[in-house]
Amino acid sequence: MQPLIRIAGLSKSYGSSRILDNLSLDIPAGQKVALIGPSGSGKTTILRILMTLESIDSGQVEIGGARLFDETATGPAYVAERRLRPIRAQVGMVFQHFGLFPHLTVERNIVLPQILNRVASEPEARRKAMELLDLMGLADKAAHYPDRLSGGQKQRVAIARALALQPRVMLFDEPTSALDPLRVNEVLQVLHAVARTTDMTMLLVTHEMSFARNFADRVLFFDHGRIVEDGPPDAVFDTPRDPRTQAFLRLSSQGE
Amino acid sequence: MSWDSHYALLALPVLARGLWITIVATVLSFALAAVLGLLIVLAEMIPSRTVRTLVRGSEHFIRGTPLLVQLFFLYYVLPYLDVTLPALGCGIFGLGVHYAAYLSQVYRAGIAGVPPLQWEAARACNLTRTQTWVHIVLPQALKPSFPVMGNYLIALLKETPILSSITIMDMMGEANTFGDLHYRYLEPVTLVGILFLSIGLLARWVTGTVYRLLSNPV
Amino acid sequence: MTATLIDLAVSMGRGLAITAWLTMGGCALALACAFLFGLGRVSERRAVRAISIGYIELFRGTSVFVQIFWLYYALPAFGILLSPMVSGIVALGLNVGAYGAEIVRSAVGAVGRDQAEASTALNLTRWQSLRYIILPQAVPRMIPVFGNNAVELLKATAIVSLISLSDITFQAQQFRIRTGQTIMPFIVTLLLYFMLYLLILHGVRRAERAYALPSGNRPS
Repeated sequence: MQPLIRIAGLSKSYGSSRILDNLSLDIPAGQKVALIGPSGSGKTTILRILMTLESIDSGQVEIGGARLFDETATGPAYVAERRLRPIRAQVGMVFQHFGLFPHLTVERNIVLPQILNRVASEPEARRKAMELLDLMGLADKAAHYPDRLSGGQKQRVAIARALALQPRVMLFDEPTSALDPLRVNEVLQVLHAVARTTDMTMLLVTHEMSFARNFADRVLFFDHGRIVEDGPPDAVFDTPRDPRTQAFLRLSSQGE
Repeated sequence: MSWDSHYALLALPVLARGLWITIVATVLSFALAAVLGLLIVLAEMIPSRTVRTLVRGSEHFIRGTPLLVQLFFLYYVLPYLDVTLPALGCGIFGLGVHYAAYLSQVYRAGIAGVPPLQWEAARACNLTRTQTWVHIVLPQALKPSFPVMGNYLIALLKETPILSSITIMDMMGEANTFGDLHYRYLEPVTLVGILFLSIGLLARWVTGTVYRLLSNPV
Repeated sequence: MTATLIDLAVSMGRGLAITAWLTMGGCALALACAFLFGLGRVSERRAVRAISIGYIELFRGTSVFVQIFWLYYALPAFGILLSPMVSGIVALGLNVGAYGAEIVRSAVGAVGRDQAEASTALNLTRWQSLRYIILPQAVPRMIPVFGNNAVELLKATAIVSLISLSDITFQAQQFRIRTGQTIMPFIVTLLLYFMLYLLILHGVRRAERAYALPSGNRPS
């Protein structure tokens, strides 16, 4: 079977530092993947490229068989916006710093993208929003503006907003890193519930090792723009082969 | 010679007539400036160096030359190009274009103030460029622009006496004509000053209130 | 044709000199008023503060156009006759000075309480603290905004043509009346003002560089 996401020979540098180093990776539909590793190892950049937020120096990315890049004289460039939009419709993203629209109420944050994407009529979109807010335990916040919410609440709204568009791929970019430690769990619980109940493909960048282990059925360990360990969570966490993974896991278990 | 209250009282109704023109000119030219200023900023988004240089250059030129001369240009030169506008039309157009070059800067600052994450989130929600501008960026960019726009509205109001120089009978035009008629300018011109002072204070209060209401949606 | 061009060049040259004098005189007065009333605005003395606020509100609240006309046409009613040049410089200087005073006030306010407190701790007098600590940090913030004000003043000088001072704009009007030509004199006029505008921008940029604080310490 063809993988849903296919990444081939991806490289990217900022000035002299290499963010991604000839990276290749296939992800089959429905897989829940956790991306772990030290800061600056390229985990977040992968997600941002899949969301078409970041340019690349070389390589190719396919989502659902559609290419994201055209080969041009100056290297790969994103395909025309017209062709990009149907691809983007299959991908949703939750950001570290939420990215809620501050001028819209919580409900409107979830409703407006659905309407603009024509995935639902206004009443359907509102029903969907309330359903998701209910699931997130935030039904009573529908009419509030984002600045009245705590970080954990904001992130749950952001998750609901992304889910409402029913993407095939969900990208979570350190969804709990900006949160108050006491608020981390409420978001992790929601993520866990979503992961268990859908067949969506999910990529999660996180520093919460024990959560990564529970959430994922595949763990990738990144270091300096390469994947140095790739396997099921038990194998990666219990019997890591690469010394860099061993060292990183030792340090992060001390932190927990 | 000193202040003559009787004479001042005679001038008041005449000035009131001019006040009406002042207000009409202010409102219409500000509306024009608000729309045109936004168009300037959006025109700059066209990915062409020539367009951008042209837009920026004209903006500098409009901001760098006196409104009075611009009005003279419109008033005296346009008829030679077979464009006939009534004086008030010239005045409103000139004022509107002049202030558009200022408001475009205000909009630009507002747009620059929208965090990059908002653009990224809009893309993650698969919005088109136009949808992103209309629904996400402009609403957030305009709100902090409102108080500054209020300042420009008041500045524009205070610039309207210049319209009298192209025969428009605004407050200043009426005051001058009334003064010419009686060889006495102290009272009418002082009254115009007092009226501007009061309208300015009133406008400041109104724009302040409007902004407060906008920033706390009920 | 040549005669007309020479006529235009000569009258525009005369006008340019008048406009330049007006601008420089106005800017000098505006700068003096800006510091006088801007610092007066933050004075410890109530009366000084009140006078400064009154000045700022009066000149910002009425229009520069009205002020010029008032000085020239209304003041004679009190037996004070000012020449068009003096009326122009005084009105422009007082008007722009009022805006400048607000700039001085906010720049001084932006330097921060800790600097004033540090000066007190070092036993500096109020004047010493202002002269050696506060102003050197506040002035770099003022320069770009003063530049904008200088441009506004330059543009406002054109109004003085209406009280028969023979600046660039006045010369253009006279030329139009004399020759019946409109496009050429007004284009030349606009270009001359634009040139003066660019000159001011250039000067401001140089002043910014001259007064720049050491890097890492720039006003934010």
